[in-house]
Amino acid sequence: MRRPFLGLATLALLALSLAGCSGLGEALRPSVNLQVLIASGRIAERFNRESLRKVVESEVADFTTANPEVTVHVRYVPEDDLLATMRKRSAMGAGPDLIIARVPLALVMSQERLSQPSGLGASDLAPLRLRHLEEFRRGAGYDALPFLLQPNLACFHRRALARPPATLAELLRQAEEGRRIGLSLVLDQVSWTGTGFGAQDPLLRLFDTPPDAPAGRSLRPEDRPRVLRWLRWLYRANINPNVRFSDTNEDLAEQLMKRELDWISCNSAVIPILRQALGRDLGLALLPGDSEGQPARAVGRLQTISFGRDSAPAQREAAERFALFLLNDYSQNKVMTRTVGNLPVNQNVIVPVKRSEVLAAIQRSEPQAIVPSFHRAVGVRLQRQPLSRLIKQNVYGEASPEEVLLQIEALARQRGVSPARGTAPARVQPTTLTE
Amino acid sequence: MDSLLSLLAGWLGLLSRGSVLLQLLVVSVALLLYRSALLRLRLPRSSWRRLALLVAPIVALELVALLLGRFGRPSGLIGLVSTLLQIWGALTALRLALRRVQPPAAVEAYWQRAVLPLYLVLALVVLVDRIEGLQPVGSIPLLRMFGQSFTLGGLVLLVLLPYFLVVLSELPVFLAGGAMERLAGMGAGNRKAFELLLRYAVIGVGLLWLANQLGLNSTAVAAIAGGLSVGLGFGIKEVFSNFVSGLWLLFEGSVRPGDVLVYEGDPCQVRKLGLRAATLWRDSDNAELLVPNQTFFTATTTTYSGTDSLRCARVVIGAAYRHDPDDVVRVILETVRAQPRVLAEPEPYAFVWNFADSAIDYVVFYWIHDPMSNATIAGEVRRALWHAFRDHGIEIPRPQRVVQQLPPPPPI
Repeated sequence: MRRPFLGLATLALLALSLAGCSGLGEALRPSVNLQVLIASGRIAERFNRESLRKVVESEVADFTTANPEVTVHVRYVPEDDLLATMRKRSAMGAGPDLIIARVPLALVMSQERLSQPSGLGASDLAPLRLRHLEEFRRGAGYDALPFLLQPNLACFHRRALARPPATLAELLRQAEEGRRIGLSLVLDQVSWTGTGFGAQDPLLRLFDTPPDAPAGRSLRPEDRPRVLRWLRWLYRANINPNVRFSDTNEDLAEQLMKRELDWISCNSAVIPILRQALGRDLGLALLPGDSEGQPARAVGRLQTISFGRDSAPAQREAAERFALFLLNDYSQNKVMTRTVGNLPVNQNVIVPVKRSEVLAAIQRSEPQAIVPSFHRAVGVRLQRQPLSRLIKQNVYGEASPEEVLLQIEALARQRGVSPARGTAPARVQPTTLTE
Repeated sequence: MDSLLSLLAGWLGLLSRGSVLLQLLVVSVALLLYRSALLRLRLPRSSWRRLALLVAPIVALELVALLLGRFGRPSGLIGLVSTLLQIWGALTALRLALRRVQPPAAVEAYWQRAVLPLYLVLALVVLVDRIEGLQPVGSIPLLRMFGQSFTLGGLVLLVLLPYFLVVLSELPVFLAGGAMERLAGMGAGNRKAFELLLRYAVIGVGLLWLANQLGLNSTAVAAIAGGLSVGLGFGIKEVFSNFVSGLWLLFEGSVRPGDVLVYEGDPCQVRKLGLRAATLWRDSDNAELLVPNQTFFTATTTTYSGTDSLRCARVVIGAAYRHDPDDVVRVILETVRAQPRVLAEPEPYAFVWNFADSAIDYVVFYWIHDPMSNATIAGEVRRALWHAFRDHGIEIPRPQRVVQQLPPPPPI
């Protein structure tokens, strides 16, 4: 029995000697170690990752200054790996205390019970006047808390385009005149083009309807021609040599930075990097809408805060304090002004639209954004890969719009993750999709 | 470095969680009980009974994991340890089985050098992957050199990969050599040369891959190469020369492991062609000679296994002048042909070698298959010739000298 004890004693000695190291000593002095896991964009979305990293690093530094007894350990994982990481860690009781991720992932975590509802109640959060908060409510608590909003808008070269296109027809006309236009092949990033044809809402409704809903998952007869018209428009757009489709928004942003494109649809998260490359030449505008001048509505991104299920009471308490810190007036204001591209969810924070053109442009696009919550615009994002494959087939003429339409419906009928349980089947109306 | 310390501190933070502590307690108790049982029963290290005892902690851990799962408590750590123990058991069973068909010393050596370290590394990797994920841990920056940032993953690869490349390549290369021997009808020498070259290739490609993974930039590589060239010019010229000579000899095929060649007058077998020197085995005194590769590259080498391994040996024997040379030659040839280790084809031949002082010397040439056995076969031939000469009444004369006394000189 002597040797096992010797081994344990060695381990203890090692831990103590590690604690003796200056850096670790500093790290160990606080009584609470808080583990924060951040799903910092998809693997290909490095601009988004960098943007979110800057936000979080700055916030953590401020929080630990104000709370020296808490050490925050931040880990970043690509969105594609988040669920696998959470499953592995939670199985061992080693899950993070706080997770920052976009809505669809937060929903899956909540449904798989990888995260726990927030212990912060309405009374704790009321002073912050958080936008979209009620859409995450479960009983007295919340499945997740909204953190940052990143709407989609149009990014363009001022020198190449004196006036950005206001309608889809104008967009194609500008392409015919020689302007180089970039569009995404990812469904949730290109679905805004369906606004003008009335195709977007039926598609969102199609994927957000629970699989066991009486109507099932299929398009209404009056919606099918709208979706078909939109699919045909996408195919015709690609015939124009000046319209380029790309797999990722990152590709589009890079081509705009290299001045290989003049106009792209972009997410506000890439604005900092675009500004760095283009300076004052970067123009921002609303996405072009229908012929009547109604702007397009794109599915925006909402970063959320979820809480882990494995935390010790002290860690949970620290996690909630950190969440409140991330959402307070100071942090939200700082996030908005220091890393341009993020809109606060805290309504106490006033967006300085007169001082910053960029923030003004983002602020203008925000009312048009379809903000995903646990009850809407989730299905489309969860099925983004197969849907994007179908869009590609349509755009490159490998399948006719009619065939693609049938396959989209077939895809919707496959059982997937449905909106949050315990809620009525989503009735996605245009009015509910806009803020 | 701060990131690494922060990571370790974060892991220590997990110890504040009841569920983690409970799992650690269960695992520790199971392993301690298993260990104390081993000490009490005093089972030998390599025994099936010891392996059978391993089932107890595995079953116990699985049951506790099941129980915790029922209550919705995390049990992944227990499951992980149980899985690692099961893999350990499977490896041990394989080791015990191999000891029956392979030399136990060789199995144990491979176990100690390769399997055990690899198992420990894999266990650690799996644990880190479960707790934190390999990618984030591996990408923790540790230090900067040559304007290049080295990550924890890169440093671990830098330390472990060369070791495992050298150690782990041994068995697959040996198996590949065996396969080539059977499929392509390779000789033993060619097989060993093939194995050595394949091993160098595997290690070389592995090191290149490592350099690529570490992201060594071309400027740094050029600086290292520049330094090496100066070093080669002064200090390690001989080492490098021997290394290149060894590679060249292998490519050329002039000296390969298994070859028999004459070194300092004795036939020796090439046991190993190493990075710096070749190891030769001398049969006559069972000595191993370490000969720098350069020697074979610059000096004339006599080999008996270049195009074939046959050796033409000879024995010289004397017979008295009174015997008819034709009869003696016939007896010699009959005797030599009857020797089991003398090849019938090419046929032995004998002739009068010399009219010596005391006898007529005859020489017989014969062929043998194993050049290393020349001395013992020659001894057998001489012994047989002695018996044959005795049976045929042929005298092997001792040195004779006729002393003739001259008549006394006439008186002056």
